[in-house]
Amino acid sequence: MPRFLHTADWQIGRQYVQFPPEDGALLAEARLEAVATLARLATEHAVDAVLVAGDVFDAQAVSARTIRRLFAQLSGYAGPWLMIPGNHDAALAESVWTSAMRIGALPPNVHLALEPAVLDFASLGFVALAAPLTQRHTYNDLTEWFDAAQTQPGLLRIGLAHGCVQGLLDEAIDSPNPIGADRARSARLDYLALGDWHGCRQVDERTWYSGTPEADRFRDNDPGFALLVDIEASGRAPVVTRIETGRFRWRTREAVVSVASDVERIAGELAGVQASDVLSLQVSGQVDLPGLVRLRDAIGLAEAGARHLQADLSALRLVPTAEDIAELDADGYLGELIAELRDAQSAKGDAAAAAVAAQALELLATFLLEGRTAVADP
Amino acid sequence: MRLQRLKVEQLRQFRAPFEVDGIAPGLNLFVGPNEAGKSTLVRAIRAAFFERHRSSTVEDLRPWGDPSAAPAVELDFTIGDVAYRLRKSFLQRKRCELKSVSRALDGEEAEQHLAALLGFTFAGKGSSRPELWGIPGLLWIEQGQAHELEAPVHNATDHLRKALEASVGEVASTQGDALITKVRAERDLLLTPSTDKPKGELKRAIDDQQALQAQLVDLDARIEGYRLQVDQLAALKAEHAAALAERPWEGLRTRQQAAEQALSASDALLRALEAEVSSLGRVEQRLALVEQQLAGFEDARRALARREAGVSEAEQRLEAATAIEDRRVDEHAKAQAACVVTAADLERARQGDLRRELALRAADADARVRELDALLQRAAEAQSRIEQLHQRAAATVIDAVDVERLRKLAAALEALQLRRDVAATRIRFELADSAAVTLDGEAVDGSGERLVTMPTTIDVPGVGRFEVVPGGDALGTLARDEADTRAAFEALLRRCGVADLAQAQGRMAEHRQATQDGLQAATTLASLAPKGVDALKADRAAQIVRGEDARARVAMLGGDADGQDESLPLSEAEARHLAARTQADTIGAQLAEARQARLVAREQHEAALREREAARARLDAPERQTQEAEAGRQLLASRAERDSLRASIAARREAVERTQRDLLEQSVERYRRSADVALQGHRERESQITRLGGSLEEAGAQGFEETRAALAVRLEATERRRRELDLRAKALDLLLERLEARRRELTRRLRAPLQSRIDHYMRLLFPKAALEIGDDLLPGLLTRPAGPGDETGAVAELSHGAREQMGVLVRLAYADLLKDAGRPTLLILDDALVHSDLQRLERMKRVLFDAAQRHQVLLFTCHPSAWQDIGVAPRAIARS
Repeated sequence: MPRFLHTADWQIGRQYVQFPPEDGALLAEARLEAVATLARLATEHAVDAVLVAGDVFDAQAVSARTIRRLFAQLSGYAGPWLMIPGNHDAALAESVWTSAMRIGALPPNVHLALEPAVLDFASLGFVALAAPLTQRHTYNDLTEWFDAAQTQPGLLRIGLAHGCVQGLLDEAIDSPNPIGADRARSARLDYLALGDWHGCRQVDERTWYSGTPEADRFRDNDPGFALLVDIEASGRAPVVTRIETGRFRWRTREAVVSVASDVERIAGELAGVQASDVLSLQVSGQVDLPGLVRLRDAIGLAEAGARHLQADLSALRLVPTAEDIAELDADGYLGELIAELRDAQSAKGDAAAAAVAAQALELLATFLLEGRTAVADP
Repeated sequence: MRLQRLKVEQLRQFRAPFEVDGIAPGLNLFVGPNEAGKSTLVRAIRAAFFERHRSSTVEDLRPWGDPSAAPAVELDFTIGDVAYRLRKSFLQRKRCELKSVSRALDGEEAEQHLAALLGFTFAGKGSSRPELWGIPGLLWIEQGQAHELEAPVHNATDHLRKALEASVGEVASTQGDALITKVRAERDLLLTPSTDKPKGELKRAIDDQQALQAQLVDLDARIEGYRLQVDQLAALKAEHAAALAERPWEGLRTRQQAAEQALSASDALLRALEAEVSSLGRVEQRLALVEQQLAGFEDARRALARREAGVSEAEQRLEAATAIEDRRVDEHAKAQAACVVTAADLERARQGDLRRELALRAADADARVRELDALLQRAAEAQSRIEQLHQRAAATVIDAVDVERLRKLAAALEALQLRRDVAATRIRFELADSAAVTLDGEAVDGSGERLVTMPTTIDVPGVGRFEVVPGGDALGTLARDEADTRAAFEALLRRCGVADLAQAQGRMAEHRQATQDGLQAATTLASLAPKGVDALKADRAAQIVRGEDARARVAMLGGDADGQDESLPLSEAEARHLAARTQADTIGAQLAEARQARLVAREQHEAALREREAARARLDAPERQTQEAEAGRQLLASRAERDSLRASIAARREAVERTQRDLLEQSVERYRRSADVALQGHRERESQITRLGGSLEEAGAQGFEETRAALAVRLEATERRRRELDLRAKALDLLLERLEARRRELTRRLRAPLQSRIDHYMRLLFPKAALEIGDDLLPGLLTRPAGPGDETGAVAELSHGAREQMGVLVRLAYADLLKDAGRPTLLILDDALVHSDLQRLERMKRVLFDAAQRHQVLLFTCHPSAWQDIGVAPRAIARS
């Protein structure tokens, strides 16, 4: 009863533009660690082969060091690693793969299909039909030839492809690298291991996207898994199990503050962040001064607790109350100015001017708060 | 505020305690000479309020040379209804106590309370500075500083605003100024103060972003290049594989070879053609030779005929030449004979001519002889006359000098006689006829007169003798002179051989005539015989010989020298002979010519004969016949060969043309080149693939895309930072602008009440003038009546004295406002208004007096007399 570990979209070499460089470096490092995790899992679950359905690398021109480091992660599993190039690392005339081969980084147990081929693993009871991408983008279904491919009867037919299953995903309409929606059936495949979609997703009984083993974006589409595939025999439906591989949980939170308790709710959520969280927080609405202070404090704490917290308060407007103004000793014309800025920040029309006003108001409040707690030397 | 008591101790010159008590609520005048300590008291008040008791920078308070001193000030004052006592000591004993009925404060707390009460600020560190003095800094005028207003007002503005908020009915901001300072500081970290240009962090962020952007663009270009190369490599590989499968150059080579074969067949054809063309050339050459040979034979025949004609022509020319020669010989002989005749005639003519010539010569010689004879005759005559004249001249010769002396002596004698006559005694007598009187023996008669110079005896017969003796010595002298002269005269006459002067003169004239005539005769002779008579004689002899010679030659010639001559005149004879000889010469030349012509003609005739013989010999040669026949035969054979070759060549040429050689050659070249190109392209592609592979390998090893991703991360971070800083800068700018606008607005509102107080004091100082207060709460323009209209000018441009007055006045106005606002006011004037003239000082006293109704005023001066009329008793400051 052959057993496989299906994974894809490792995207080694990816950098995280939206994060501060130190956080980004750690997240990039996590991708390599995820591969080591996969190797460990493969060994633990005693799989017959690991199916890697494309996009092993994020780019073609990556450094030799990165290439070597990746293949070093595979050492935890001695069985065969079946790999096909995806759109990011397509098997071009000169590619990351030719580089890897040139520097001799490919371990012998990596079975790399740089062109469409049937990989024969008769001793393990299966053959693999590999449909690598040899161009960055193609508008032909590279798996079409699966239908006509003859293989030894009795051996499992396992497909490996990278692209968009047609008609499945809204975004996939007219997208490049199409894959026929019915390919597993038409090609009499026992399992079709797909890559490209970063979330874990089942397409049909025998067709799955494993998703990326380590999340790399805030899109909430269930990344961070590998699939354990058990196939009892040729023609039998595979038994697919999701195994969590991701180290970091990427989440987005969009919150609207309208009443004081909203701030408390957000603060409560932020209090629960963990070291594995990569969080994007966007707060909009209106907040009074204590609310803003509370929110800022909560964000400050959460930033320390989470792997990364990306808080965007640009849509949140500070609206100081009369009490706030009194509390800040903002008497005389300061009080008037606060009122003026409060109105200006929500003025319609010039969004940039409104943002400047909002920032000015916050700064004013901040300075006043500082002045209240510290004795400033004028 | 009212200060009641002031006590200082161990402070500068006040080493011992010094106290001023009972300070009045209104005006107080403190007087004292220089160094008395007025300024020290003012300093003490300032120190008590402004200086921190802990300050170590108040060394100036210490009395000279007293390191252990603890300068102390004690003040009693009331603010509102609250009485305070402030005790402050410095340096060695640092204390501060502020006591009121309700509370006692001390140290820092006491100082802060004090600052709040009066409206100033303490220095964080070190000694107090004017910027911190606030309201007291304005109202307490330091010595000579009354005219300075701008800085004190500026330093007090914040305190004034706060202090005056009640009176202006506006809410000032307690934190406003601190906030503005803070906002400005923050803003100026990011933007330049004046130009709003980014600076500091913001500028760094912008620079970083631009630098990274540039790097990214560069990298993107390289990545794009890399990708293009990858695609190029793929395309090349595909082409390479296709080329390997098709091997197009081989097909091209095959076609090239086929074309080459066709071309070589055509080549063979062409070579045959060329062989025939060359044969044709040879045949045509031979034909030309044969034709030339035949023409040679024909030429020889024609040459003989030409020679025959030449011979007969030469014969004719010879005969003609001979005839001409003969005629010329004849003519020449005749001419020679004529020439002989004329030569004889000429000889005769010449002899005749000579004879006549000689006859003429003889006649001429005879005539000459006769002529010479006549001349000789006349010459002899002249000669004899000359000799005669010479003789006469010699006979009459007399010295001209002697004649002259004679003449002079005669004249002298005459003169002497004359003088003697005058001096002589005159004896006149008239004698009767009868009387025979003798005088010196000489008888006299009749009447007459005698002059006597010597004693003369008159004898009168009858009477006796009278002797007359002339009187005087002169007569005697004269008589001697006369005698001497006469003696000389007569001696000379004798020497000259003449009797008297006339004779002498006659002889001299005669001699001259003879000499002259002799010369004339010599001249005549010279003209007759210039070379002398002998020459004439010689000439005569020569002429005789000439004449005889001529006659002798005539005789020799024979004939009669004088007879008739039958000969022709010489000139005619000569002309005739010349003509005859010329004729003979001409004909002689013609003869020579004719002879020469005949010789030439004979030679030509002989040559023509020889040529004719030669031509005939050639034509008659025995082998010529066979040669000519052979040539004729060859001519026919060659012509036949030539025609056949021409036909063959035309046929072959057509065949060659049919093969289209140029097209074949082009085809060969085209296929060859195509094959080369195909193969070359193939090899080039191969090497290009290798090259490109290498280049990509190298580029790939650099990890461009990974680098780019890392760069993008940094760029994004920088951009984020730049956006944040930009927003912050804009917000700070906005905040600053708004805050300052509002503060300006507030200040502006303070202006009205201040202006009303100023107007009040201005009425006291310059009844008709107006001082305008600006938005900065400082006096701006002063308008006052001057002449016909008003004049307006800035206070800053006024004289020192006027500015001083304005300074005091504005401070009083501020004090009024503060008073109205319930704030403590105390005015201190330390020797203010020293620059004011008497009239102005009078008015200022009015002003001060008026102000003192509302405020306590401490006035320190060293000119007590100037303030006598201020209405209060002066208090002298004197150290105990």
